[in-house]
Amino acid sequence: MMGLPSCREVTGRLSEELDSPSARRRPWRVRMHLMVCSACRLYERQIRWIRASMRTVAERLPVRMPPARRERIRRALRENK
Amino acid sequence: MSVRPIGELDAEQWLEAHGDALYRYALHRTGNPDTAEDLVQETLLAAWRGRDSYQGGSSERTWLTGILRHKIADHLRRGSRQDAMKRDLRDEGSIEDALFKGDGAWRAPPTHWGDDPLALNEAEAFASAISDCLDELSPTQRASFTLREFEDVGVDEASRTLGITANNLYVLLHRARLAIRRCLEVHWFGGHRRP
Repeated sequence: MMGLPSCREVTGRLSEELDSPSARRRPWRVRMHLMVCSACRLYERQIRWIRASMRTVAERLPVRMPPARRERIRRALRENK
Repeated sequence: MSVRPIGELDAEQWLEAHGDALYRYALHRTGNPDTAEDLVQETLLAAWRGRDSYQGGSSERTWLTGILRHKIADHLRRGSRQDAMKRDLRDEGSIEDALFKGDGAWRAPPTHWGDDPLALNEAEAFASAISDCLDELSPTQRASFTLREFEDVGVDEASRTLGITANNLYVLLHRARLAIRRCLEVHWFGGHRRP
């Protein structure tokens, strides 16, 4: 794609748009790239899907502290208080 | 939210009430059970010593999680982790080199995932898949990614917490997303959930 940024550059830009308030206005060269590149369009949808899904599961990650670890911490609290 | 007189705050009660949540938080951010245990212990001890500063304005869980978040950041900044972070920010051998050709085009373009959002009844299986994918990240990538994507911590606060610049944070997040996306394509969309 002559004169347009590469997929490597565009994916970096798309990621930054998720984080940086100043990156929200998309340069036309990036828009042009996305018009002709279905792979990067998919990439954008997917990193947004990942963000939404991560927030859905954030509190559902099924981990309990193993009893032996809990016991070690309990002992440390008693000794150090 | 439970607000009690300061004198009744008790580190062992915190361990009972919030131990699982704090451990889960630390484990998903560091990927290491021993480290997670140490960090929870340090957090509860620090909270006990600083109990006079607890105003009861936020819930105990929020207060303790705030302390834990700083303990995790201290852990990442300690010793050789600084070198690891510098390695993470270098270009040579980065995940970009693995995923893109010399001219910057995809080696293997993303495949279709379908249009459906994650369904609630898939959440548990997905949580387990994402947990495996997080293990593929470096410690600093993992910490950056979980701060932003699990917790929606703002860029300024996240970079302050990790002791890095916003630009470095963008690089770490970008590489984490490239890695997580590739991992989910193989282990989630290629297996459990086919579009």
